[in-house]
Amino acid sequence: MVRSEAGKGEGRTRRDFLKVSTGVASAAALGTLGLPHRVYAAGSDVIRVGMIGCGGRNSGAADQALAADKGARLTAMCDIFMDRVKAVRGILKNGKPGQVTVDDDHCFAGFDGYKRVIEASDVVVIANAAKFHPFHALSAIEAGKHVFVEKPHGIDPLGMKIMQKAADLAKQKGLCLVSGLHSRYHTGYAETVQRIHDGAIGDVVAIEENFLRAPYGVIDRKPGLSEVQWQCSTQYHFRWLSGDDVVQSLVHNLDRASWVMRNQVPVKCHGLGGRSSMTEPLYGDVFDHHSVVYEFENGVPIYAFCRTTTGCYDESSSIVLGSKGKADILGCRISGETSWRWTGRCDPYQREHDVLFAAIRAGKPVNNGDYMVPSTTICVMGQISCYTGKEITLEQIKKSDYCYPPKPQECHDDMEPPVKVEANGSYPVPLPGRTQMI
Amino acid sequence: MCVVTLIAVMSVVGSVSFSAAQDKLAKKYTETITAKDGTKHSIDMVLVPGGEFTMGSPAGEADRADNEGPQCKVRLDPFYLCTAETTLDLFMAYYHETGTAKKEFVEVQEAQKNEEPAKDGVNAITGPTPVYGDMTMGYSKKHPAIGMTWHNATTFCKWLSQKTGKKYRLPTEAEWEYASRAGTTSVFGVCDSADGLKDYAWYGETADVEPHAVATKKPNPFGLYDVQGNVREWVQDFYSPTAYAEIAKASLNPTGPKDGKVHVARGGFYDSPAAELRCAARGFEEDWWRMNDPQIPKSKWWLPQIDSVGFRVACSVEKDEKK
Repeated sequence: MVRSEAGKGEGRTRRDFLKVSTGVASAAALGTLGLPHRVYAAGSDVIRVGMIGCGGRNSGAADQALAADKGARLTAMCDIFMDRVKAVRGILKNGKPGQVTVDDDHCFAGFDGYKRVIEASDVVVIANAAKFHPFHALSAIEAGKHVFVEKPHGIDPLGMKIMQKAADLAKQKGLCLVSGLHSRYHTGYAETVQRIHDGAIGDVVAIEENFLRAPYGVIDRKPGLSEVQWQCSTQYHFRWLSGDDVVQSLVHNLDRASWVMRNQVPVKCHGLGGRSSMTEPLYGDVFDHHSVVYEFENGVPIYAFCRTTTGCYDESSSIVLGSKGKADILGCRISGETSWRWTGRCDPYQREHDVLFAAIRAGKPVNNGDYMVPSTTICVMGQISCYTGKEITLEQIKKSDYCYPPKPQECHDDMEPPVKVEANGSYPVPLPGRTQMI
Repeated sequence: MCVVTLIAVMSVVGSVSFSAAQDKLAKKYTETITAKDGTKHSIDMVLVPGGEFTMGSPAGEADRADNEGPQCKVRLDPFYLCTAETTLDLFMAYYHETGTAKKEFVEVQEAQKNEEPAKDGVNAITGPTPVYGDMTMGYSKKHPAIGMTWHNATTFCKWLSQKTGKKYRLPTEAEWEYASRAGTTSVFGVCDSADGLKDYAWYGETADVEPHAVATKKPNPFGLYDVQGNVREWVQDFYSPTAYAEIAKASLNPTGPKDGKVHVARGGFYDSPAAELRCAARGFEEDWWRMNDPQIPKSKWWLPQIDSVGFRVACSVEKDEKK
């Protein structure tokens, strides 16, 4: 239960930033790296923003970026589909006419559009299919650009390695890397977690995470699309693009759980999952329910559940059970020996960009790598466990180079669809107990 | 007690033709709705008698805002109003029955048709897209339904109308204020000073910063619960700060500005100060109600995490009932 309106007098314009990491690369180091390093004078220089992906979320992110800094200009955009690019450009221009300067020559379509966007930007906002997040983030950082990238930060063990490389390189080069795991930018959640760390509920005994709801982003198949285009248009429903629901939806939950446990990753997990009712081709090749039990090194478990089915009980919660009480992170409240509730108001999505652009202006890079990869790794191991039916350890994930084929850099506009409908009329799904992955 | 109060009100109003017609109308009724899964839900409706009242607040009223004037005399036909804010229980039945798993795609031009009136009189109401997360926000089924846009609330009313064959809708702003005043001229309807609110209202002093199950406080003289406080209630009207100047010109049943950007939401909510609970106080949708929707275009249906706004339904009196 979010205290939606309480705390009047705080106002949304108040900007209290989270601590930003201060890892400014020295001029000498920059010289060695041969980087064109721009220092942005506050308020005066233009910061060019490029969008990789033109879905609903990235449109929001671009708008938040433009709101964060008066000097920000949207200069380049790409998506698999050109009509999305053009439509979104129109909508964003309506909202912020002075700041959207993308001309037709900087609207790109197809799998390779990201390269052109990176070239034409100083900051890229990445929210396309999660398969590409690590690879596109790394490409941007290699080209010397700042990055905002949505969750999840990869969908498979190979993606985790690539994203870690991106995070390390960003740190080395003094570039910003901000994560769309918005919980970390939510002042109410942050206060709740701080109180847990300060002992308000005693020792953490167990964590329960739920994300149960109707399916997200179900799209009718538009006539005239190729099979690959169709799959891209409904990317949440295809494993090779989205990584399925533990990775897509439980990532916020598992990020909060990891945050409570000081950014640790559980050492092992076992999961159950399947597809009971959402079997039509419209729902792609993902499971429709997952349950995962994780165990941290000190024995604390996470019990995590997600479902994407209509007509069922819905719940969205992050509950931390302690030796002296209970914390409800989404409700920002603590009960038991201590009783506390947060009564503020926060827009974490806007804060992500407020922090990012302030960091760019100040030359003090922010890098969320310390939790981006651990939190996403928790999801990847749980998803693989649900698919294979096996216990999966963190060590196995670290040693694996598994990637949902094809690799991101092997995706191109003429590619063969990685999956196809079978004779029974459905896309095939993994079989726990039989499917092997890592 | 309820009937005595109504008679007293009708004599204050003093319009003979209204009284004669209204005698034939049921003073109250219970509507039972059978959901698709067979479960039954019921809501209680009371007749708000037709009459005339003074809308807005006088210059001297404490905490008055400019948009509450100029005061104007308003005449209203009788109408039915639900005794309680729509519950999560009933709203979820609507959601499960009409919700579509499919999203209008990002044919993003679709979003620009946001203000198109929803299809009416079609066999099936197209209801909300899935809420991201869960719509209960952890509250019980007896709590008010929350976090819906004005569009979602009006679509609920269309669904309810189709289920029952009656004309369910949101009350107009004038109807809402009239019902909240309940035939009195006091500041809060239920009492004249903030000291009296505790027994009637979930608000800053009583609610402990969250909404409560409906109809657990005392009702107002019309038999309506939680009119003051608990959650803000969508009404039909667009908001304009100068709406009353126009309303003054309407002869009967004013419906507010023809156009606008946002709609009015009356009655204050669980964390309001007493000032917001005055019958004259006018709330309306604010930009930040959509701040937890990170997408563009913003959802037509949901205000994520906003547990401070809901609605109660009105029902028009059938013309032939008046004979």
